[in-house]
Amino acid sequence: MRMKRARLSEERRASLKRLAVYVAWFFILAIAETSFFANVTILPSAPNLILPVILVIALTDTRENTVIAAIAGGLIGDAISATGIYLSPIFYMAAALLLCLFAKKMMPRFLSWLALMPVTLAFVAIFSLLIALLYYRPFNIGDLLLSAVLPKVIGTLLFSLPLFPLVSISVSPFIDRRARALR
Amino acid sequence: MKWFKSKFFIICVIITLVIALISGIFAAIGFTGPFKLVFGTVATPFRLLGTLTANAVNGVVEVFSDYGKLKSENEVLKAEVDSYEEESYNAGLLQEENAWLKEYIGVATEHPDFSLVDAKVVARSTDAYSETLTLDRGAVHGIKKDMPVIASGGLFGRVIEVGLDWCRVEGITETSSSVGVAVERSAALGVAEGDIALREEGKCLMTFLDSSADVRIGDRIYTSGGVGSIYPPRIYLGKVVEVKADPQSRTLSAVIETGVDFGETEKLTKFMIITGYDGGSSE
Repeated sequence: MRMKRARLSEERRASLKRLAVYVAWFFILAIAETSFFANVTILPSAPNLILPVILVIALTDTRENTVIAAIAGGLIGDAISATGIYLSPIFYMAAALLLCLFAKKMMPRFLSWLALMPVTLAFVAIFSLLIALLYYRPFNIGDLLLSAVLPKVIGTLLFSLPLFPLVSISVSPFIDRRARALR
Repeated sequence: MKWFKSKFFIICVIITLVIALISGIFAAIGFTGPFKLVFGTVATPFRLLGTLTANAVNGVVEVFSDYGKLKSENEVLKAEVDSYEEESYNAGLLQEENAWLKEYIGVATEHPDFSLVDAKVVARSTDAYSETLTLDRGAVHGIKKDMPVIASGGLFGRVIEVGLDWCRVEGITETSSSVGVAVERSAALGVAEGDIALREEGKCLMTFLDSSADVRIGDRIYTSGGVGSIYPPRIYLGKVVEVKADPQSRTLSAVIETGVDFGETEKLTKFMIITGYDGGSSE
């Protein structure tokens, strides 16, 4: 009983450490999105790098951690970006839940991540459209899709490719192998 | 589905909604939310770093994008330079033509008695001992053998052979040439002959000068004309650059630097053939 409790506490600590790493990633990526990618003139639109990380978490961590990370990611993203109302936590949480449903580990994780990227990109597109609908009016839906949504989706796909190995490696010291095997 | 009814999930949803609600209220009343305040402050130096990096990337991109722009600009400028070069070349030709016409008019004005036919070089024949030029005027243009030929700078020589629409001319520096000449200042008479040693330098030799003849360096030499001469009088030939005395024959000779640049005959393209003049005829 005591051993089990100790084991649980150890796992919770590792889980918290992983969450801290995710928060650090979200912080870095939100800064990169709003400063670096937003200012590089050759990119028509800054990519959304938080949702691909949520997908990585959905594939490599527990559902609870994924949901918490998604809320944290949305919160950080909105806090650093210019938007005033915090819609991202709600949206990212919903996306995380759906991704967790799909993210059954049938294939090697990286392949699963690649296979689920279109779903993630669809979320990116929907979220960009939603933001555009809320903040930028009047608009033409065709123009919006071509000039804002499509570049964002393409940018996200391109720049998120190195994220899977980077995020996985950064949390690997805090993964309990036995817990993972049991999951 | 059971998971969605779990306490954890409900708490998450409530927290998220509360955050959205609070931030919404803050935004509505025009305040910066607490998260934004904290994260915004912490993120500022990192954002600055990101912006600087982006600017550096933009600089590199600009270099490459400017390369294409510069290339096309360079092509446009090249085309412009080509057109200016062509214009300049045409202007040069016109200038040459103008100079030639001026000279032509000058000769015609100075010697109103001259009948002139202008001619252009169509061929050159050069060997170690002589140089002749073929001009585009011949018998059909009234050209005959021994007619004097003038080029830019003065007397060039004479016609030595005539075809139907061409003629061959020989310069006064050739060894077979001899022209009756006079010193403009003293009217001392002599004969300008081609000299094998001087011809390479584009010079000729004035011989048959009396030992007492008044001839000095810098004197201008003109054709003397007269009975039996194929050349009319008062055509400029050149100037004296050296005077030599021959003690044995007790005569003087003078080296004449010709007005026509025989050193660069390839630059001579236009000529005037004197077909007739008062007091004599080339015919």
